[in-house]
Amino acid sequence: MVLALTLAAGIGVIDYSTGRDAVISAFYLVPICWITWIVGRSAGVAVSLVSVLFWLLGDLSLEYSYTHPVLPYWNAAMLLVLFLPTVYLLSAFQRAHLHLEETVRLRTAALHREIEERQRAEKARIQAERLAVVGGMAAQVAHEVRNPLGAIVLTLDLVKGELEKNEDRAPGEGTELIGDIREEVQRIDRVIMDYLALAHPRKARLESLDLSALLCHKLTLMRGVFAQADVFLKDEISRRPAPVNGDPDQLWQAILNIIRNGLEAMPGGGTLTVSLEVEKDAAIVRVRDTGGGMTGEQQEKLFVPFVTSKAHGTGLGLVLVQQVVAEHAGRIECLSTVGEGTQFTLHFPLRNGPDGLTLLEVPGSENS
Amino acid sequence: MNTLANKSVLIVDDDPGMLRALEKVLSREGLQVSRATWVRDGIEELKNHATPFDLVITDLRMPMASGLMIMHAMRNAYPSVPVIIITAYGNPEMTPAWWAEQGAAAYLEKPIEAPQLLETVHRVLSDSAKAISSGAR
Repeated sequence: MVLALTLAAGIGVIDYSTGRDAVISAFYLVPICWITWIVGRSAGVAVSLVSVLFWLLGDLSLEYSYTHPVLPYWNAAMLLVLFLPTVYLLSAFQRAHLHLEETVRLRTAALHREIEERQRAEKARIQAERLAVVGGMAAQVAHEVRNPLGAIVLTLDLVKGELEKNEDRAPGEGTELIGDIREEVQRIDRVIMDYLALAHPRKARLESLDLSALLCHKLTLMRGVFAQADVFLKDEISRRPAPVNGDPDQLWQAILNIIRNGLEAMPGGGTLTVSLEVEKDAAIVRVRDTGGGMTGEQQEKLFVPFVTSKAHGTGLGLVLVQQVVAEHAGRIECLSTVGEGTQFTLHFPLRNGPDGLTLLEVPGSENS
Repeated sequence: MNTLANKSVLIVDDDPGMLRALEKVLSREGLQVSRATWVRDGIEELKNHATPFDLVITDLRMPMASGLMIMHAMRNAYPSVPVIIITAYGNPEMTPAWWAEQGAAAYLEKPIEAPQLLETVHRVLSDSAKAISSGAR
């Protein structure tokens, strides 16, 4: 502004010193236009008025002999008539220009958002389609495989009965071998169950339950598994009641999948910490192993179906976990460091109030 | 286990291996086992058997027709005879509670273990015996 006024004053001085014969009043437009563009309309008007004032002062002090004393003022008014519409038009143009730039910026951002949104939707659609195809196949395969599996299990029970008769009730090698076969059959069935669960996710049947009691009870039943895997189970489960609205089977299945992953990450043994924290409005379950950990790339693909780092995995375990967590209005996080281990954190919303006396409908419970 | 002896049971399953295994497990316990591979044959068997069966065990998904048809035929003709549904792959919405509503005495998913099967058969038969004796009064 100061620069513009100085410029205007400079032109005034030149105008004064060159006298009335050389008309340079159009040069006042330089500071006027410049300040209008940079600052705005009112600044443009101000510089216009000051310029006209300089011109008038110069005119009056030159004591130029006009034919009529009003003429200097008339000329000043004429200059204003030139300057003010210029300021007005230029500032209108400038506003339109800014508005256009802003609009382009907003539209571009919206377009980027929409492209991202579409890409996400497309990814989700492809994933859903993949799962639907797999689901259809899984249903077919399950039917064809579980029938013979059923027959095998029943027949094994018969063979076991026969062996026990002959072995005079002492469990011998035969019975043990049958146990081995049964375990393998169970493994096949688990794979089928994983695919089936994915194909037709069972809707959660939410009921009020105590997550602390559920975890303590289920973990007690798993002591043998931990002992066999040479893994120390560190129990950091809060004994404070953790009332949540949940499907006990699904919740445990989800947590069990994570525990299994942890055990499989420590083939040489280690420590598996299972903790439960009850916060103001959430129950937080953490499962931490001291296994090999995961690279960033592995972590990125944790929840991608059919991607597994195990020699014998379906790549569906964590996809199921994610589904269960979503159905319980919870969320899941994973922290992993190569060489140190992995920690999964599951957040589940508590029922209204830590005492769990008031039942609050959580999203998704209307399906139950 | 004497509740099982001489009870008659009809097994309907389109899978011959499963049918054979079920028959062996049950007949060992003294049950009189009849079997059918087709739903149509099963319903024929129901009609033609000299005395009503004490129990029907049926698969759910079979060619041409489903085990639900057998169950409904049973509920109409012999409402007191219990039906156990066994399936390799159930619809997740068809929960045990849903089956109870439909009138099934029990619902099991393959692969079933022999002790689990026998325990269920045992329970279902003694429940129906109780129901009959209390209904007679």
